[in-house]
Amino acid sequence: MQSLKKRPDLLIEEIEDEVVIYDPRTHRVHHLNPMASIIWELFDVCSSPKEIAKEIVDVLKTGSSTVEKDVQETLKQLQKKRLLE
Amino acid sequence: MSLLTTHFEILSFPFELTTNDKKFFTEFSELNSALASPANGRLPQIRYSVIKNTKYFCIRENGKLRNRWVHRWPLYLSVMMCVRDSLYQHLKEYLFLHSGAVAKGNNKAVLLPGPSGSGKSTLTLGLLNYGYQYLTDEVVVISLSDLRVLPFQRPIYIYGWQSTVSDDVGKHFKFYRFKERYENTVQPWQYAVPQRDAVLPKDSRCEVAWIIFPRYNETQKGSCLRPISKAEAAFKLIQNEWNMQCFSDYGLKLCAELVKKADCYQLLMGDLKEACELIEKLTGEAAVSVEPEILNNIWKRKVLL
Repeated sequence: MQSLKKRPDLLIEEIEDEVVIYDPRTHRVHHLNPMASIIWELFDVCSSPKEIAKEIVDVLKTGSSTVEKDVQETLKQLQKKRLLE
Repeated sequence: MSLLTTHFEILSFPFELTTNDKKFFTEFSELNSALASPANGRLPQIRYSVIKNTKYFCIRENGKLRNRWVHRWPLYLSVMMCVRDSLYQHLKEYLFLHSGAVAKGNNKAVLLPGPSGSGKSTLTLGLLNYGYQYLTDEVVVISLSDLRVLPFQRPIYIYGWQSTVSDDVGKHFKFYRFKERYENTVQPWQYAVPQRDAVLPKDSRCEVAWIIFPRYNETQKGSCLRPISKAEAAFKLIQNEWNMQCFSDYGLKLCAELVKKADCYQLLMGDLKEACELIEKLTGEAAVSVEPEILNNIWKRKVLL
């Protein structure tokens, strides 16, 4: 099961509909595009990538396979950047 | 050995410089004339010494050796790099960004943040020809109290000895030519130091109205401006900070506030004239006619700083 827990020490700023994350451990900054930002926000209320994809499909009325792929890809990127616990 | 000493302040931070080299002393005072103010009677917090012995010029900071040079030409830059580091370390009331900046009318500033080689100094120099006032070409100082820009008018460091500003602008700058020697090569450089009307009062403040991230692209024919999201601008701004580690808990918020108040763009620059004109159009000022020769001289510089 992939972790959907954001690292609690990250500094996060929502600007318009996008998210900027500052990692105080590495002093690196990350910018999430609007779709990645939605996925990031949903980490707070969803417990699995499937649940996130379902939420997005329900709201955007779009194809579920594309959204699931996007969620998985975003998750992979966030893990690679070590932004998740 | 006769020693010469000067006391000066930059952003109200007191320094002392002592040297036994008269030529360097004069050069340092002249190059710093727009950036530094005379000391206000306060004790210096950092003391530099530049002492010439038989072989080297030794630069010391509070007694500790920082650098040594055979030639005189790197001394000013070398001392000023130490000064810059000290400011970043000691002044917590400012955010420092790696950025050029100019202002035009109504105290509105255009920030030009970018890493070395992005073309920010080239663009800063180009924009002076279009009636913009020089704020800085390397270190943007943002006051945390009101998020406004303070002038940091260090000399503009220009490759080549050609004229890079029109006669009208040139009247307000003094140019110091020198040669940099690297082993068997000699390169011509010059400093442009603001004089008279180009020197801004130390307490002047400009609102950050535009943030433009230049990116020099030698394969591109023209230049183009692309609006970017505020989040992308904040992301790019943080990548060009000098001292954000001083405020890890609210540095991100500061940058976010800064971009929220400004219009943010990416500038892909393949042509300097076009780049300047795009900015001029964006900032809503009347067109200024500039001799293409002047801009070509800037553009011909071997190194984009």
